[in-house]
Amino acid sequence: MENQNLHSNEETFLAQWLEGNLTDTELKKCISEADYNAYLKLRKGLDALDQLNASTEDTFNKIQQKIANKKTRIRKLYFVRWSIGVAASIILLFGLFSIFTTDLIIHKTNFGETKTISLLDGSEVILNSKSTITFNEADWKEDRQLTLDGEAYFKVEKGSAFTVNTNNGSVVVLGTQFNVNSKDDFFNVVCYEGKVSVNSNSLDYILLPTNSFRKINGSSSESSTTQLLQPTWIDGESTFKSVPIKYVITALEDQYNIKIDSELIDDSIIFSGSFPHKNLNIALITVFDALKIRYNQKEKRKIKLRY
Amino acid sequence: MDKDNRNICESKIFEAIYNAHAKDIRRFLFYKTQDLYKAEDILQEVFIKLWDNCNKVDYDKVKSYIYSIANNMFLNEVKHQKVVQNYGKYNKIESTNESPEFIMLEKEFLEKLESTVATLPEKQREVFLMNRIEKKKYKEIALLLDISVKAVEKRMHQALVVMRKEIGNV
Repeated sequence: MENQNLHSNEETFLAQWLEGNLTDTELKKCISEADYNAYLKLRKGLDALDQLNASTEDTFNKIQQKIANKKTRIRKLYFVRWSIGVAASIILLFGLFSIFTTDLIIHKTNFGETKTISLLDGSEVILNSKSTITFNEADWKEDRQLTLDGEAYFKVEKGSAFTVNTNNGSVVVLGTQFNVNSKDDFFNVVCYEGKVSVNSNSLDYILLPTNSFRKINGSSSESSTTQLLQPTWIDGESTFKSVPIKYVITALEDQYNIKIDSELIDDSIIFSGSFPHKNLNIALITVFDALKIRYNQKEKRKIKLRY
Repeated sequence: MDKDNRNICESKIFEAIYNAHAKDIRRFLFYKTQDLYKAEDILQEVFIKLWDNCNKVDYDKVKSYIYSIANNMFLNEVKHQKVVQNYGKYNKIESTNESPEFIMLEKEFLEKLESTVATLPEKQREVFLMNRIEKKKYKEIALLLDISVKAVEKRMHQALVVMRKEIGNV
């Protein structure tokens, strides 16, 4: 019966097998081992070819999906970059602040006080009483520039231009020793060594050693005055030569922290001389006795002048 | 071709490249992996990588680019499999990834099989393609061709016998 069945399918059993109506083991009984293996491989090959020739559309959809998913990941990356950008801007802002907010250094002396300041390049500044210098420490190396209000003696190390700015004008030097006194409308520059260039009211004056430049109340003069090696105030004595008395009075006030009432006297009298910084009585005597001006100390630290 | 047409980053161009090469790449990968699922996976990876690098790849060189990517990814997969197998060895895990009756489908075999199908006698090929490509049952084919089911089965059977002869011993 079985044989008959197989015989009747003799011309179709491969078709039956391929369709799944005949099992592999059933096929194996019908044909040789070699044929059986060959047909197994044939079927597998045909299946593989079917799959290989099938549409790749599904795969493309999967690829697009994966790419789309990746894009959201890229967005996350952009977020990271964005936050990095914020951080960078903050750092940049701080950087700009540190550039533009200057490291201003201010040195100030009080009544009767002198102060020696060493600058970064080795230059030295001696500040007289009631004086202020201001400079930027950050760019001192590139630009030696300071602002002075009051009186100071400079010993400048050689190097780039060293500029002293005052309300009355600026003093430029390369390396030298000089004294600058700029108080209110009194401006006096004395050169002790080297060469000093003074710019005042857009006029340039070159001072050689022992030369001095003076501007009082807008009128300037250049004269050869000093024989000294350094200003006397450094040794505790203020020296004046042909200076209206009112500037001497201001110097006294700054030195001793006193108030001098000069209403009753002519404060444009010319004074030459000096006063010591240590003793107010001697100072008052040396200045005012010579000019035959009487003074009395009504209250503490308040002195009235009269003839 | 102007430059716009050459931009792989444009999705239309990208899809055109895919449609032109996907089947060949899949087949190329199948020859190497003997595994249709792996071939599909790597095919996806290849085109995702092409998309990622769409700015860097020259349109004229895209074919050789995707083939070398496919090959490299296949080699990476092999390397990975070796690591997995070594791990299995050292951990004394019996790995039976491949059945003992594993049948290797060589590139030459498949090409021969395809060309044999193409050269089948007309009547046999007609039935064979309706069955294999259009996935029609013998009954449906019989109805469409207005012949008996037995006749369809005979033609199918003959087709297989011819192929068996053409392919020779394997």
